[in-house]
Parts: sequence; structure tokens; C-alpha cells
Amino acid sequence: MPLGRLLLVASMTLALLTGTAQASTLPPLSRGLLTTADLPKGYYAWTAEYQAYSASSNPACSKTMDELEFSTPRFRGVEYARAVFAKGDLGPWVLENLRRYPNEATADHDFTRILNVLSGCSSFSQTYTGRDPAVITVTLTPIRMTKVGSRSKAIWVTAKSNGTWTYGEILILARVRGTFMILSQLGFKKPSSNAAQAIADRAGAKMRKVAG
Amino acid sequence: MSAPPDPFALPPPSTSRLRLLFLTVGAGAFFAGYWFLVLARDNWGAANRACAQLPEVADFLDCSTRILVLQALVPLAGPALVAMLVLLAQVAAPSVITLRYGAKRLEPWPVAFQQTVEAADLRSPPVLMLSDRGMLPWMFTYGRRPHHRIMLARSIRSYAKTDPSLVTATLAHELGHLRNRDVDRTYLGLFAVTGFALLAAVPMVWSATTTLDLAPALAVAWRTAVICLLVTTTFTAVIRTREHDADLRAGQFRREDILGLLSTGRQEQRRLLRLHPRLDERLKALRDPGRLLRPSIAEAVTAGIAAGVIVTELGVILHTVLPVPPLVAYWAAGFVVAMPVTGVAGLGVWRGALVRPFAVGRALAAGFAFGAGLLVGAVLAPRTSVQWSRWLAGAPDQAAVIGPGQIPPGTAIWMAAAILLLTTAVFGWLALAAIAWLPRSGPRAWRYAAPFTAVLFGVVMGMWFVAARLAASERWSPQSVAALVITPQVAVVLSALTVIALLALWPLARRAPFYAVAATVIAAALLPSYLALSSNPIQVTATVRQAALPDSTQAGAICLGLYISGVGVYGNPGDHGARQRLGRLLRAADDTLLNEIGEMFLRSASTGSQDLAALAWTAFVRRCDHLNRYHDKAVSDLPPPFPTEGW
Repeated sequence: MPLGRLLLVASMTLALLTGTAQASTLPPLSRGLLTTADLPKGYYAWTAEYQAYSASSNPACSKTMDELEFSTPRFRGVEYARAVFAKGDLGPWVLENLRRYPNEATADHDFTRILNVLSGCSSFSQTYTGRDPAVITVTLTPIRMTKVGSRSKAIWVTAKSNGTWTYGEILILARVRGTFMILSQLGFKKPSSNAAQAIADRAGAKMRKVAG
Repeated sequence: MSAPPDPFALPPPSTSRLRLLFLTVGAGAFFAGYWFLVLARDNWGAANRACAQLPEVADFLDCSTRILVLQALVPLAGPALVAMLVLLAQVAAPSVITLRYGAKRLEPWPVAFQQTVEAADLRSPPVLMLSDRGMLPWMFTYGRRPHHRIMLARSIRSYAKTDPSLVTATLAHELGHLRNRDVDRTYLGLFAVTGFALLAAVPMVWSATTTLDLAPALAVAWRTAVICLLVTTTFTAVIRTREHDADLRAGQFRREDILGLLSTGRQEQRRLLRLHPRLDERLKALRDPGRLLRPSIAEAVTAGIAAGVIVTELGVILHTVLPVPPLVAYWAAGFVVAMPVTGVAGLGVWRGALVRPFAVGRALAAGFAFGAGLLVGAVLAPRTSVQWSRWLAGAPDQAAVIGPGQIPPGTAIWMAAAILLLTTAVFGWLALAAIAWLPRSGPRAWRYAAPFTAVLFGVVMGMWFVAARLAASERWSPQSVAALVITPQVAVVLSALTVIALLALWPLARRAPFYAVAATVIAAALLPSYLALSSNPIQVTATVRQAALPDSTQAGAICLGLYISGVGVYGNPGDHGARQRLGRLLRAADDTLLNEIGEMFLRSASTGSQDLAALAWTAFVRRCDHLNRYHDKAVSDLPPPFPTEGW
């Protein structure tokens, strides 16, 4: 087990044993999620399907991206909430995942762990077999956006499939106390920076309400 | 007690099964042709890429149409090659067999032989050949019409002295083959099976296992194995049935000798793929020929499977090659297959009507079995039931038409029920027609019943297979599929056929009122159904989804939208607004051909031209097919919407 993961599990276990978890005193996590009213006109609730890849040129990167976007695997002691919206069958989409850790230190530690992994993921590829075989090349570039939490990081992710299409994703990781937000804005077209920042700000504001 | 039926009043079962054999071999050879000449050659990637480079949509359409037509035609090389081998073997076989056995003419003939040959009353008597070599079957017939030969083993001479009736009975049996004219046909069947094995089955399995991954190799291998099994069992059925037919024919002029031969003869030792029926079966058939004339369920299933495979294959080919609507192309495919099928399964029902009492229930069961066979054939057809593009990057999606998993379950159940009902109804009509016509016109009435039956089979198969293809391409509901296929014009054709079929049963009205009433009730129920379906296009349009294409100028993303949304992107037939939206999107795409196609959609919307919209749609689908298969287009990167920074 990597050192980062070991420390995370150890600290969460410790938090559970010592009874310092703050979850019971806080409002439900799902209240911190975006709703269609928070988004520009045309978005509706959507169900995102996870498509498993058969191989990755960098398994750690693929695993971390899955963990962020689809909350797999889930950690014991961490509370999860999720909302997905789309403007059409082919996007643009907004995916929001909220996590509540037992305490701030654990959340911050995990934030650091994730950033450490992602910093080594400037480019990697995933191979899909089965009904729609494809090789998707993923690139990650950090971008500068207005901060939406006490700690946040924005990343521009592109996924290029077999040289047929490319989609872009603004991935925002933000933390307020023990609450961790992963916000993805995806589409086949470059999003408008103003609209993307507005959605991120709204998501950050709602997260703060449930972060205590 | 009624007189035993004349087993030769209609073409005997061995003839029907030979047709079935050729049908099955043809189906397998078709796929081999497609496999080696199209799929295994990267679907002619270089030629397709050259089409994609053309700047004008009209040129692109002409070029891609030319390739599609050629690709539809070249698989015919498979059956053609098998046919050539068969003809060569047929020409060379008599000389090769004579040389192989070192045979010489038997001169002079023993008197008993002379008498037996004369009793057979052949137009051109055979030449008797005598072989001095061992390892020879006791007696067999070969050669080409009208120069047939009967090979005799050396031991015949001594048997002719000690047990002449045994020898003359065997000779009578061989002469029975000649009277039945089944010698040339049997050798043709044998060579067709050999040709199929050498030129299609073995190379295909070898090629699949050496060039593909495990999953597609298995997909090819198991389908090839099933077709091989069908070919083999049909061939052995031909061989076994012709022995019964020869016994019956020989029984007409040497009955006692044949009965003696079958009572005391030696049983063939082989158990698997036995080429002769058991002696006790032969005796029973000789004593009661009616046993051979009853409709065979196994024969109906096999005919259905072979027909299902061929209509699936031929439908794709004719749809591509013929400049006619899809339904007409599929009717043509159905009719081509219906002719031999009528000569197999339809004739079987009429033959059954010669036996008293006529088992109508068995005829209906054969119809049900034939429908079940068609369903199996649709799943089995190797070329079309596998989505080859999943495994072979260059394979066209056009090849994937009837994957059972692609049809919505509700629609699949309705479609299965429909084909079972329709084939049972056609067989039921055949049985009623036989009851109505046989007493008036005798077996010769089959000549008039056969073409109409072929039309019925052709219409049923053509309609069902085009419906299956439609159902597999989109998430249509059963009502939508039916309404799409049964247009007002089609309803007129179906109604006319129903009326003609009903009128043909007129003689029954006096002899068997029950059947007449039943047929009238069924027809009366069918006619309004046609009309109701054909006059209600709302049922179709209600299920077409108005899908949104991606908000993007990327050609690849737009094509992804086409694959996900299907015909919903096109909108309903009268919805010019949908075509306008599509046109605007394509006009802004980062692909010059799509830009021009977008202009075509916009023009079609402003002029209300359905033809132009259909042409633009064809070009759109083909351009996306090229982009999806060949990935020749460079995809531009999406720049970040915010300034970049370090980790």
C-alpha cells in the first residue's frame, strides 16, 4: 500500500476510534450539491455511466481520475454525495462529487495525495475494448481560476479518442474544512471562462454551507 | 382401404433435399467470399480513403457507391468458385473413376442382367463396367447423363452363378437410381460439399484462427461449424433418401428381388454419417411408401435455417446493388430464396397430401418449424449477425444488421411471434390448397401452386427480414416497425395476395365448409390490419426521438452524435426544422465534406425536398462511417479556457 494511502487509512481509523468525527453535527452533504436551479438554463439531471477501460499506460493516474469522477473505490469513514447534469445526450455535462472526511487534517492530507498523483499525469492513455473499441489519450494541465475553497486546484483535462474527437474538462478540486469538492465541467467545445467560473463559484458557495 | 400413394407423382424427397443442400452450400460460400475478398482485405481501405479525399459531395457519393456495389457483388465469387469446381469435377469424374478402378466394359452381358436392364425401361441403357481391383463397393452407378455406367465388382461374377436374384436385385436398385435421374445430381451434391469444405469452410476457419483475436475467431468458427453440420447432415439426408427412392423405383419392376435383398442383405456398419438407411427402415418404406411422403419437421427446420442465412446475406447485397426501395430489394431476395424453399418445404406438404389421411397438423407443425429455422438462420448468418467493426477496425458497420441483442426485447418477441405465425399460415394455406386441388387436378396442380407459394414465401421472408434489419438499427417499437414496413402501397399488395390466396381455395367451400370459413375469417382479420397499419403513420413518428447533436464543430463529435442518436438526428419525415438545425451544425463543422452536406440539408429544408434531404443523409452517414473507420482526420486540440500554471 502506498505511504499516502496508508496514512489516510490510519488517520481515518484513528478519527473513528477517538470519536472526533464531525459528521453528525453538520447538515446532510447532499444539500451542498448543485441543483438545476444553480446552473444555466437547459441543464437537467443526468446519469453518468462508467465505462471500464481494459488497459492504461499509467494505472495510478487512471485510478485517481476514476476515484475523483466516479468515487470508486470509496473509503470507509468518508461520506459521499453526487450530482450529474447534462444539456443534451452529448453534453455539455456537469459532474459534482462531494466528500466529507472525518476531520480537516484527513481531508487536506487526501487533497495533497491526489495532487501528488495528478502532477505526474501530464499525458496518459486508456484502451477500451468491447462494443466501442478506442484508445483515449488524456492530458492534464493546471490552470489558474479564482479560488473556490480554503484550498483549491483547477486542472484542464482533455481526452482525445483515436483521433476522432476531443473533449475538454475543467476539473476543480476544492476543500473547505473536512469537505472536499470535485467539480467537473465537460464538453466537446471549449467552455466560456465566465460561465465555468460562475458554476464553480456557485458550487463552492453551496459546499461552504455544509462544511460547517 | 385406399390405394397406396404413388411416391413419384411429385418430385421425390431426395430432389427436395438436394435443393436444400445447394442452398446451404451457397450460403456458406457467400460468406467465405465476403470474408476473404472484403473483410480480410481491410474492407478496401485504400479505395475508401481515396473516396474520402474527393472534395465534392457528389463525387464522394459516386465513389463510395461504386465501392459498396462492388463489395456487394464480389462475395458471389465464393459460390461461383465452388460451382466451377463442381462442374470440373463432374466432367472429370467418370474418367477418373474408371481409371481408379481399372474398369473395363462387361461384354457380353449375362442374360439375367440383360433382362433386368430391359425391365427398367430406360431411355438410354447404362454401360456395365467390371473392375478387377479390390476395395470396391459391390455395385455403384456413375457417369453423366445420358452415358451412365454401373460398376460391378469382380465378385459379382461368382454371385451371379450362386445367387442370381441377389445380383439382379442390386442391379435393379442401381437402375432405380438411373430411372430417378439422381446419379448426376448426387455427384453434383457430393462435389458441392467437397468444394465447400475445400474452398470455404477449412480456409475460413484457418484464416479466422490465425488472423483474429479469440472472440471474433470463435464467432466465425462456431457459425462455420454449424453451417458445416447443416451441409453434412443435408448431404447424408440426400444420400439416404435417394436409396429409399431407388428401392421404390426398383420395386416397380423387381419387387420380390428387392424385398429379398433387403431381408437378407448386409447392414452398413457405419453409425455416424451413415450413407444408407438401415435395412429394416428400407423394408418398411418399400412396403409403405407413405412413410416417406409425410412432411418432415427436420427438413422444414433445416430449410428455414438455410433460407434465413441466405436471405440475410442476399438482402444486404441486393439492397446495395439494386436502385429500388429496401423492401423491394428484400422481396427480391426473399423470392430468389423462396423458389428452392418451395421446392423443399412446400413440396413436402403437397407430397404429404398424397397420403390418406392427410395430417394437416403435421403440415402446420412444419410451418412453425420453418419459421423457427428462419429465426435461427437470421442469428446464424455469419456475415451479418456479427458486428465486425468491433474487432476489425476497417469493417463497415453496414455489415451488422440483425444482431438479436440489438433489437428491443418487446419488438424481438413480437417479431419472432409474427414470423412463426406467418410461416405456419403459409404452410396451412398450402395444405388447404392441396386438399382443394389434388382431387380435381391431380399432382400436376403443384405446377400452378408452386409459383404462387414462392411469391407468398418471398413476400413473407422479404418483409420480415427488412423489418428485422430496421428493428436492429434503431430502438423501434413493434407497431413502428410494422407501420414502417406496411405502407399503403404494401397494404394493397398484401391485400391482393390475400384475396388471390382465398380465391384459390374456392373448391373447398363446397367440400369442406369448415376450412373455407376458417380461411375467410383469417383473411378478414388480416385485411383490416394491413389497412389500419398503413393508414396510421403517427405510430411511426411518435417513436422517433428528436436527438440533440453536440454543441461542437468537431466532425468526430458530430458523428458520435449520429451514432448515439441514430435517425432521431434526421427528425420526422416532414420536420424541415430538424434538417435546418442539422444543416447549420454541419456547415460549421471542421470538415469540408460535412460543410457541403450541411448546405444540402439547408437547401432541402428551404425547398422542402425529401429527395435532397435523403441524399444529404446518405452522404452524412457515409462520411461519418469513413471518419470513424479510418481516423484520417487530424483532431485539433482544445485550448484551456484559463491561463495555465504549474502544479
